[in-house]
Amino acid sequence: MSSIGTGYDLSASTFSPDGRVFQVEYAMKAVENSSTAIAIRCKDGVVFGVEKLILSKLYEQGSNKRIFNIDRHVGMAVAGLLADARSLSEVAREEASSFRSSYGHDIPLKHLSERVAMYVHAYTLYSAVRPFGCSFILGSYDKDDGPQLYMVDPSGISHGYWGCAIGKAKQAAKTEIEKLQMKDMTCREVVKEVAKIIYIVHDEVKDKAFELELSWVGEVTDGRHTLVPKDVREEAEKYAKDSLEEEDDSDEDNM
Amino acid sequence: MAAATMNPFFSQNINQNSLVPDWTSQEVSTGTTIMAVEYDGGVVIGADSRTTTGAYIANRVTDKLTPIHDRIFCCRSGSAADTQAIADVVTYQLGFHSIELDAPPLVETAANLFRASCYRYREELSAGILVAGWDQRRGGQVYCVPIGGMLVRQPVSVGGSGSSYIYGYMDSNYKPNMTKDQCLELVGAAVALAMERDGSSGGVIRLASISEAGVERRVILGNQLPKCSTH
Repeated sequence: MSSIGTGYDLSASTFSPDGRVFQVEYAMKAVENSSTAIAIRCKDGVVFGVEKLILSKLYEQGSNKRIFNIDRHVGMAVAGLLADARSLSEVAREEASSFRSSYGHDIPLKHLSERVAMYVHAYTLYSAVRPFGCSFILGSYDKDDGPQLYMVDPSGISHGYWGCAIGKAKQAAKTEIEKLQMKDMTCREVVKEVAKIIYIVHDEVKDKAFELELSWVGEVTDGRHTLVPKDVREEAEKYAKDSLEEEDDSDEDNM
Repeated sequence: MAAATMNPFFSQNINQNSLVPDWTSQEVSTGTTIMAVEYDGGVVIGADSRTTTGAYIANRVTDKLTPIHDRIFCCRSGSAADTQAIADVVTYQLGFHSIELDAPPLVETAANLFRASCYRYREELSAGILVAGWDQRRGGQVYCVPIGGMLVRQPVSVGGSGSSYIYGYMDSNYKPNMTKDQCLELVGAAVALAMERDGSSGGVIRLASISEAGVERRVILGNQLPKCSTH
């Protein structure tokens, strides 16, 4: 699938003979090296889940967050180079804040994701800078537009989704997400499924310990994006672990 | 509303013995009476049609109800030049914003854009504006942006030099949950009363009603003005 772009891949301002910008494609590969983040839009909100790999036992629990608050009603989950993602979260915050200052109301998510995508795209045009090495998922909920979910990748494109996944296990996660009927589910139901999917796609062999970061925004939080409360998270993780055990058991029975 | 006393940039010594009439040195003002009322499903707006330079009526058939977008209008009072310039700027900004968002703009957004210009340049401007319209999110809305650049939403609002004379009429005759036709009657009667008493307001009454279906405009000519009972 991948080809070597020798000679045409040194800067983002060079096309290859077959019309590709390799630097942007390499940026997307950087995202694929990162652990998985998923988000699902359901009937009354959006739920984010991130598989946060713990690289050292010395890390304080809850540090190196991968889910950010962009505005009261908007959350952002990231995958890829974390430093790039943090800088983009600041850009998104400035956009949302300046929109509210100029126009007097909350920024619509489609507009926010287009503005940030435009910014990401700008960094794919010049040889003096490198493209951002992160993808991110934006989600919001308000009474008028309902739940919204958008994903932006390093090439600077943004699309709207009902469910999406980024990071190393995105294919496996997408397959699991497609099995759900999210349009008919509520946030409380979806948060358990999100936890389950993260547990399913987590690779026990290659990556040892991980922390599950869960957040949501919807009617259940009255339109504010917040981390999922402790009791809901524990219930979701229990559901996830129990489902995995069931699948393991059923495998044994088939023998 | 004497433009000379209000605006230090344009005032001249009126008592100076001159070979030309006073009004050549006075700013063009929409002396004015303007009014806007919300009803369930839209708004009704109204204004008189007199523009003055001092005591001379420069335009007796002025249209002070200016479209900003498909379902959003503004009623202008104060300096004619200032309000036209601000309305042009806001029309551009709102149009661009609406295209970017790919959605009709909110009345609240239009009001905020007016407020931003009126507040930033408050020392140089003399503009009292009512922003009124209909949007999908909150239905009919009226926002008042008086001189100085405040912003407040009100169910009914009056403005301009003639408004002083009809606050009592408005307070006693406005009731919540009126129909469109009741609002049209209220605005017509109130503006007519103001035109009777305020020297800077007169001419014809221009009315417009804005709702989801669109904008309906009408004019009440001088001989059709609602009759007041005292004289």
